[in-house]
Amino acid sequence: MEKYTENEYITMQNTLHTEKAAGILRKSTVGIAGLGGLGSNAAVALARAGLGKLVLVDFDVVEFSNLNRQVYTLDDIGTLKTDALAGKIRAVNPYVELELITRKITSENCSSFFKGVDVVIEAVDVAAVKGVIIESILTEIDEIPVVAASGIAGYGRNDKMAERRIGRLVLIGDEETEVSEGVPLFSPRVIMAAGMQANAALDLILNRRLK
Amino acid sequence: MIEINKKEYDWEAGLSLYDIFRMAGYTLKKPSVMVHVNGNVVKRDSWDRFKVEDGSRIELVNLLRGG
Repeated sequence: MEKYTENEYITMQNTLHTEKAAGILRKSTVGIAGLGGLGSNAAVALARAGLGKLVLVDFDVVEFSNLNRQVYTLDDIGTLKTDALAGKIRAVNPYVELELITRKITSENCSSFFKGVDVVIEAVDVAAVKGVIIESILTEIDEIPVVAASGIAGYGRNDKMAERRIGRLVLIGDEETEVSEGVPLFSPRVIMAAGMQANAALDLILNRRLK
Repeated sequence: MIEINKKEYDWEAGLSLYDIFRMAGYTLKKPSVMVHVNGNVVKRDSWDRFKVEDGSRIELVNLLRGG
């Protein structure tokens, strides 16, 4: 395997992403709550984009049934998602700082995981937990925006996917299509939503600092 | 007058969030939604005692399974 130094990554990012944006991103942290279809894909996208640090939270292990939409591969089955995702990210860029938190998210512990991050991405499956994460961050931590997803199941017209901003909440999805009988999660739409969440995180970080 | 997801409705004294959900067409008493009033989150555990004031801008977001 080829080896590159941290300075070679910095030069590559400065050349490709502009020195100013790359510098801001290297000093920024994104927290990701849930490392399934949304979180694992968003994390890899943000690592490639040159984020300095990611806080990755999930209590679960990789299962065979995750392979239809999550970044994990056969050799990850049975390992913690935090560890497996760290491996995937380090295989792209070993210099991204990672904080791995293998815990179940509750209303009591949620905001303690994300103190000091620049943006939180809500990427869990269960609707009630989405609510807990959004509520905790927006009411217990000042200034940090939350990029959440709702309505990402199935497949269909790309222009149904949208972004809505309410205060510090950025909502990605069609706000209609829930996982249900006959409407499963398909990788293209989940990856699209994860990409939109990662893109919104970049927008929030860079537009605040470049102005 | 109040606003629910950018649509205007008449205000009356004593409106609760549960009245708001009904006006917005939800059939469940406690739907799976995130509630913002005038840009601030109203936490689910304080829905019972929340009174909606005249002129409020309310935004409801459906929280749907999938991740």
